[in-house]
Amino acid sequence: MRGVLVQRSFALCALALALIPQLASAQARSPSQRPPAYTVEASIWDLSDKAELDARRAGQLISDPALNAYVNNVRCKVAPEYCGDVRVYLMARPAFNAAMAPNGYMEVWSGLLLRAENEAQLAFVLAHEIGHFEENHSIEAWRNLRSRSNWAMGLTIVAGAAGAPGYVGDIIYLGAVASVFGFSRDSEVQADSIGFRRAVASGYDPAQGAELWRLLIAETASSEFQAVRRREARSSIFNTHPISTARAASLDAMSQTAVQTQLANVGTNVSWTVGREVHRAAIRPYLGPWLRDELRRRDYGQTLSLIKRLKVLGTDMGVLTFYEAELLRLRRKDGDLDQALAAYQLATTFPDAPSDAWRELGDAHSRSGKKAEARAALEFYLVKAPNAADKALVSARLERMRATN
Amino acid sequence: MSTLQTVRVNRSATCSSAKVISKFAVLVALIAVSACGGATAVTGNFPIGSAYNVTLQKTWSNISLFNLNREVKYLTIDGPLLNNFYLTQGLAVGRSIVRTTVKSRPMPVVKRDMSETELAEFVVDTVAAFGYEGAASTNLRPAKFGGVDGLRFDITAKSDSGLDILGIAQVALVSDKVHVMLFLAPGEHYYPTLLSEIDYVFSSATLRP
Repeated sequence: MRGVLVQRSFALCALALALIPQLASAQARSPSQRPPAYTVEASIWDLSDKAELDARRAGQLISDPALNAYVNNVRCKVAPEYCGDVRVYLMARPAFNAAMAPNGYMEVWSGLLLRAENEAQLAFVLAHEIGHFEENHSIEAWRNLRSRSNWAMGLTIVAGAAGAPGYVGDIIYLGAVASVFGFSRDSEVQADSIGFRRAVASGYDPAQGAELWRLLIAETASSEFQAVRRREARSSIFNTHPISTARAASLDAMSQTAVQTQLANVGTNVSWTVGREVHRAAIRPYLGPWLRDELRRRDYGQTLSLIKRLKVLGTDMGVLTFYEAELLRLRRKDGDLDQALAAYQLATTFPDAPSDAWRELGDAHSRSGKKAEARAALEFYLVKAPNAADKALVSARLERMRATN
Repeated sequence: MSTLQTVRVNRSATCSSAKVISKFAVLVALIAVSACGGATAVTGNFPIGSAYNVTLQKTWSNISLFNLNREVKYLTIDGPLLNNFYLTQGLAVGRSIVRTTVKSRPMPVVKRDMSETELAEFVVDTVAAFGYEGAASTNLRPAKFGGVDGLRFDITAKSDSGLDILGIAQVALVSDKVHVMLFLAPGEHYYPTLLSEIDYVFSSATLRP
């Protein structure tokens, strides 16, 4: 009897949710469009305006004109008609993320800029966010939430009046919540599609959208933490985003179609923009600080995967090798300190090695009992960085070392 | 930020989460302080576990009860949002100033064979783990901690809302355990107002036998 009731409840829930009017595809936004005053959409814009005000004074805001110009140039390239409508705020936050508000306020995090291997991958993400803006997804999500919660409440009342067991109401509520998350996933799929179309139309390599997701999947698989590694493998009705493997597969399929179309139209002389060197040049001044932020997450598996990937380009080897050594020093698994010493030594052979590499090399030598090498490295550190913040500390240490020799 | 559509919200946003936890902890602490009277006023000679004693010239509120870590004395005068004074009683290898229950969000811990630079790094990384942005150490210099060799340094950071935060710390490694005294406050008014008190407390540290 209980089984029959459960079956009927599920059937009722499924029927109820199927009966909820599906929202018609939202009308795409026109450039410079603002919502009429005193509407729900206008209030959501007001909330976004307040969030944008917080972003403007946030401690993480990166105001560097050169980096902002680079990102904004890519943004306007993929969405020229919305160039004046969208405002990007770069935030020093070590996670892969970008976000779009309905009023045109977009956030791009440093963790994303560090992980995108090239301009094309950045273009795909920015175009994806523009897709949310173009389709008014935030507003639609709010309307969807309101509509489904109203229907769920109504159905729960009807089910109660009809004498259905109490858990039927719970099932209806659960179904409504799941359908809201489903709407969010659908929005993401649509934004991926719009992002792909815009990036490719702007001349960016179609393969880079899927490639970015593959890189992220590999990095997640390298995590120190089981909970993080599992996150990518689990599909759930409560996920706000499709899982990354599905997104990569979908973007791969789109890429193959785009390449075939282009070949058919243009022939073999297809030229796509990738922009590896341009992207690295834009983020180069921040490699050190952003990798320091990554190390502070203490997910050494992920960060090591990221550093190895950044090294593939073959540039910035002094900085990247230094931070690899820093990671090994901080992780301190068996053998890590020896490997760190070797990495510090290697880092100091590159012209772009930060001066801190000599101080850490001195400490590493000191740990392994090589006093003369330690002293030489620390002395050279003060030559390289005569105004270092720890000059007094290192000088005092050298004095002690000289006194004991 | 609930109106934002994100490309990837399911990745860990460490700093944001830490800030949320930090704000929540402060809120809980404030409610508890006001509702239960869990804070006690302390002044004069103040023992930090069995490790060392300091002398407080001013009267501080001891809100250690609301810190997850029993190895840390946690004091404030104007409330946790305006000044924070942490005094650890000697952290062994693997111990941290701030505790976490989330495995995938580990806190900075004491490591074996720490150099002076690493002692400062441990403190600054802890400040970053509190949720402050761009935490960095400046003016690192040798300093005596209760008569033993240690170091003192200044800290700069920003709050989530862009407020300048200043700090000062004194650290020493004593018998393989790390002693930390760390003061943090907004750079405007609250930090300079208490700096002479902090300097006095730092100088007053006396190691216990």
